[in-house]
Amino acid sequence: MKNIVEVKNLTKKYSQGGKHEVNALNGVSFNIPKGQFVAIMGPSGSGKSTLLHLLGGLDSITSGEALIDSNSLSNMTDSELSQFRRQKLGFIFQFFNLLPTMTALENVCLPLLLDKKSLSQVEARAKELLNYLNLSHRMNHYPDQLSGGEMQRVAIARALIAEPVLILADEPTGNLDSKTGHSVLELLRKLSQEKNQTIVMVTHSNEAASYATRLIEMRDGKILTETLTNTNAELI
Amino acid sequence: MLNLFKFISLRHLFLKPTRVLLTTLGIALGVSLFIAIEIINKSTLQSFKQSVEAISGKANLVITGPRVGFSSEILDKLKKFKEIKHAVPMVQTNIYFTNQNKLNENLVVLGVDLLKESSVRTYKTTDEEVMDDPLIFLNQPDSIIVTHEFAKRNNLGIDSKIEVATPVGIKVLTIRGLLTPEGVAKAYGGALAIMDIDGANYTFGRMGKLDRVDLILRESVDLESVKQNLSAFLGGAFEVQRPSENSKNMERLVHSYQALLSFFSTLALLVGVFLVINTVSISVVERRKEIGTLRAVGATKISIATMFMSEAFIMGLVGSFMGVFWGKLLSHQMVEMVATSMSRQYVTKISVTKIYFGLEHVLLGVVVGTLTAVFAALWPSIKASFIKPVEAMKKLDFNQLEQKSTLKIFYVGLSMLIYLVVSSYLGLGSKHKVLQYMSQGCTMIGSALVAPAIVTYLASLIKKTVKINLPLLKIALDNLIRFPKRTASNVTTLMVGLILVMMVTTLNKSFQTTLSNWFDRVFKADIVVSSSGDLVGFQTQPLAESIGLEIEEKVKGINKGVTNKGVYALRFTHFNMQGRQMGIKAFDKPDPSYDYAMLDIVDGPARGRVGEKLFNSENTIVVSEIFKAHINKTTGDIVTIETPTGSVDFKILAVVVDYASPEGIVYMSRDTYKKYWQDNLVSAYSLTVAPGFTVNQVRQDIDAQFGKSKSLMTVSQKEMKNNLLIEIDKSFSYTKAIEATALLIAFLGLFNTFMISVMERLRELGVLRAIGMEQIQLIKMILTEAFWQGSLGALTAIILGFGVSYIFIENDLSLILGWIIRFSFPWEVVGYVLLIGIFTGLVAAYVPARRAAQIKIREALEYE
Amino acid sequence: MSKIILTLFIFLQSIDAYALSADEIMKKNEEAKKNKNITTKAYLITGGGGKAQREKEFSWWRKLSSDTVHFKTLTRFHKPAEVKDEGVLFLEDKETEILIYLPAYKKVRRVETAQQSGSFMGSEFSYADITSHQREDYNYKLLKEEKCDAFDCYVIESTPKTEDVIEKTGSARGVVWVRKDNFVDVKAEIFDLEKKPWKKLVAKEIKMIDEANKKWMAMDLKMENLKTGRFTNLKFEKVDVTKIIPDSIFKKTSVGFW
Repeated sequence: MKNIVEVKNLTKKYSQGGKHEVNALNGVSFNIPKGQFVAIMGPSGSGKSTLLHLLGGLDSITSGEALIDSNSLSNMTDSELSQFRRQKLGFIFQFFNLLPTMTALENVCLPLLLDKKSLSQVEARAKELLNYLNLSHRMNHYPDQLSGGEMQRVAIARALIAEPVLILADEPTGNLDSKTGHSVLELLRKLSQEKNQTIVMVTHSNEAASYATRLIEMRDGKILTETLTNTNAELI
Repeated sequence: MLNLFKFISLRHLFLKPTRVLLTTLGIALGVSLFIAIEIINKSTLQSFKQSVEAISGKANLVITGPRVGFSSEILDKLKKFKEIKHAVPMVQTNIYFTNQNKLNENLVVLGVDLLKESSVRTYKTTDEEVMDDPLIFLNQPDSIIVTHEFAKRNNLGIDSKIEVATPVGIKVLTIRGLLTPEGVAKAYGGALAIMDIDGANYTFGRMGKLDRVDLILRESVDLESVKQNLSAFLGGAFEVQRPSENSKNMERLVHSYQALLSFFSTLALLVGVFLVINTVSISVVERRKEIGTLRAVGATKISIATMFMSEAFIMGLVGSFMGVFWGKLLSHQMVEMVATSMSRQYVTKISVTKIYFGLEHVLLGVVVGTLTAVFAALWPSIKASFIKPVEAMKKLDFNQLEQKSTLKIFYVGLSMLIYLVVSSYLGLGSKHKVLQYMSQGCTMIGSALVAPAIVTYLASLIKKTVKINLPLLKIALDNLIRFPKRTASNVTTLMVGLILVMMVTTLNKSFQTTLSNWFDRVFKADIVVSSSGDLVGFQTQPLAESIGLEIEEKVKGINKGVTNKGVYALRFTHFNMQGRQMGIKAFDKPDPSYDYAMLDIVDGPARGRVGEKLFNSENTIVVSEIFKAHINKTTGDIVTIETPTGSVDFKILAVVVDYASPEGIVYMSRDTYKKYWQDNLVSAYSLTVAPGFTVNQVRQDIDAQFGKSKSLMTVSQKEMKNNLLIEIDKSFSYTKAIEATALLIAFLGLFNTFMISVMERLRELGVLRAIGMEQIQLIKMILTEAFWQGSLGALTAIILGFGVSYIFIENDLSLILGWIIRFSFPWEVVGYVLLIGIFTGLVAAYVPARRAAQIKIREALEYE
Repeated sequence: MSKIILTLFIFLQSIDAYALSADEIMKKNEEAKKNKNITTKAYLITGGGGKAQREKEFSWWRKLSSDTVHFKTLTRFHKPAEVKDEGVLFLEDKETEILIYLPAYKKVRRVETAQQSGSFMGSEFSYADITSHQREDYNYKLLKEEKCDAFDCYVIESTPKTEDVIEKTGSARGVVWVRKDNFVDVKAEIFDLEKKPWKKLVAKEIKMIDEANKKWMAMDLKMENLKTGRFTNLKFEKVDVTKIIPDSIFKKTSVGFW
């Protein structure tokens, strides 16, 4: 079984206000096989967000290694990272982060548009995805015309358009009411199970974590515990 | 990248119409001024070229000589040259005409041989023939042909009479022909009249003299060699030129004036740069999350930067087109102003008859405006590209802007200013246009970069030294000090506009003071008597020597000195040297009691000694600073001047200050002048009033006895000085347009920056409201901060303006203009600038302040 | 029989001999006006076309040069006061010289050749009109014969041979009515550079001024500008052909020494 994510001794340090150093991540190691839905939990300052940022190449690694689909992120230039992100990764943010000047359809196409494809080349697949997510009727609407749940589903479609090896979700339900949140989480689980999509989700909600197949708990920049939440768990 | 532009940039431009409009307007204003100046500069030169061409017509070569005229015997001498097919003579003078409505017109009169003219020039008349009745016309010295427009304007026609002043008294001329504005009549903007050459000479007492000979050469003759041969044959007192060379000379002459105009318009454009930087910065800040998202989702840094730059490009493009259009309108308004002030400076009537607006102006405006916008957007766009993808994770976070130390920026700015000082003292700006732009850039950008630090320093100074009781004032001031970065952008925008205002007003003041002081030093007479006309431009008819004696004899109250002479003559004319029109001031030997006050010596022995030698020794002269600079000769050197009677070596006794000519002036005794130039005419007489009499009394006496009969006018010393200062002011009138433009752009930018300030402080303001601050108090607080920023920004502008102007005036100005002006600071303007600063700040902050007061507290507080 | 035919033949020849060519007509025309000396008083009246009428009085001397082809002419104006003592001297040659004396400055001035197609002293006559036409400069063609003012006339068309002449005269074509009896031209139509009607000359009061040599002169010449409606009337009186005019008065240096 291939590992989509391989993390060895990952460390992240940064200085705050030029005064003192903060160890956000203190030598974290783990692997994630393909198709696994992982939830990362922890209190504020535990390093979970930092870990997610590093996995997504959104921030630089201080020391250690992170391989995504056998690609080492620490050696990539900014340009290469950008390319990697749009071709191999999918992001789902807490605050949806849809571009206000683009329609739902266009937002979904965004990563590939950034990859220099034209709208006509990408449209078909985007429509397919929106269909799958029951959003066809909202295709040409702008973000300010969509509900929270709809926006998040558009974001998910966007995350999927490039057929990424890994989806990174940062508190995806943090801004949704519980009912909508549940439907989104259900969607993520469906993706993981039916489409074999590897997902890493950061959350502080136990309920959200229960949708995942594996739970990593963090504290003070280190992994505290690891559990498989699903009884049909596939161990590494 | 096209995708980003299509889906994001373009749509953002439509989302924020007000801001886009403001920015586009700002660029449009800057471009409009820049283009207006370019149009005016080009039109002026074109008009002059047209005049030259209209007059020179088909001539291949033009011979000119001493300004006082040369003997017509030259025509016989020219017969030797077989290459010359026709040699057509001409004389030129001015007449000053007062019509029934007391309006004055200055006409250039050309005296031509109408029996020979058709080979050279064309005249188009309302009739078929130029001369209504040649037999009558040619035999009447008083015949004159005027333009159709002139006649209509003054209610005149064929056979009407006009009175003009001549050195030999008032003459009455009869209009015997009317010209339509074609051919020759296009010259001098139509302010032209034609007389028969002999008629003109007879009327103005110049029989046998010529001012110009136009040559038509035979076909297939080598123009250059003829030109050389003629030059050699005629000698140095004459100039043989192609007609086109004449306009080249004019170009060179007005070049410096035009350079100054362009200098200021470019500065105004730079103010526009700041506006664009502001707008793009706001945009970047607002779209932080969007940028983070794009980066997270895979956009490269370059594409982010390009995105913002393309937005600036669009605004630049649209703004440029608007600017070109406005520029053309503006040029129509300003052209008269500029042409008039140029005419005064260069003692030649420069009249712009047509605005030359071509495709090249559109192209220039669009390129300049768009490049400016894109260049301005460079820095904020690059900053935008460095926004980390992590920002996408956050909601709205304006507060965590990179706290780059203001210190680093300050040092960059300081080094720019140091470069400015060094380059100024080394005179680099004059060496190449590119270096000049660099200096200008350093002036503005350097000032902008050091300004925030200065403002903060001033604020701390005030806090330490002044006891402020009002809490609102105190809080506002504290805010300023605590968040220098925030203050910086507001202050910078305002200050850049104000610095320009400071520079312009300082320039004006320096001119005024320098010339005023000089005038006081050298001008000791109470009354000046000359022929009616425009004395400032020395466009009056010269007077006969006898008039001086008459005045001496018949007028009471003239102070007679030790030598019992009361009326002193001055002859002001020009001669040619190294392709320049140098001025001559020939003075009567003054009364010893004045101690040769007219010599404002900067290099040479004591005034007394110089004066003695100048008026008692042979072949001695005194030269002006500019003469020295152009000819490269100074005290003690020998200078050879070509006079109508031959080459003469003169010894330079001293170098003086004299602003009467931008090319150079030579002083000599009138005896010397008369000897070599064979010219007894007088340009003006000066006299002082005897004790027991008033200036008015003596003036009235002169007016009564000579005013009408000899068409003389008297001017008092006070009036002369006043006229001089008014002239200077008028020369600067166009700068008001520059000031206004700069301030407008600054205001637009300030509005933008206040908006962004408020947005950046959203959480802070939300907290203040949450703990109980009222809306009105919030508004007051922001307005008070605006008050501080405005006043301190203005103060900084004044300080920096002082420094920058000082350097500019003491160094660069003399290189650009050829004038040596001493720096004089307009203290009276300080209050005005402060008020503008405060006012602009308050007005610009008002709407943002209200917006701030209306924020929903909950939204503002919603942070992780 | 043969003698009758011979006589008839000779007679017919002589009739033929009387059919003149255009060139010959113009030669006779030239001869008819060729006086060795003419001293006369003259009046120049200008007006019409909206302009006020003006009259000038002058003395006119004309003498045939030694080459018997060209003339020398001198005028001296008497009235009105503005033109009193002005003089104009014409020295005809390959290049005609025209000089004007202006008493106001006591100076003699030249009229440039280029100006010569222009009007003579504001009149409708050009300088070229005043000076004599040189026959060799023109091609003549007899157009027809018709009556003109009760006189039988030859109608002859003249066209300049060279561009130079056209430029000098300003005219590309002319038609002249020459009286059959005395070969004096009584009417002329002058066309401009585009061969459009320009001026019309009418000669009246044609008198024989020299009985002995059969010379004629028109005492009243009126030139009308068909384009502007203006006219100039040249009138002569007291014509004296007997007085021998001295050559000295035609010297450039003596102009003005009245």
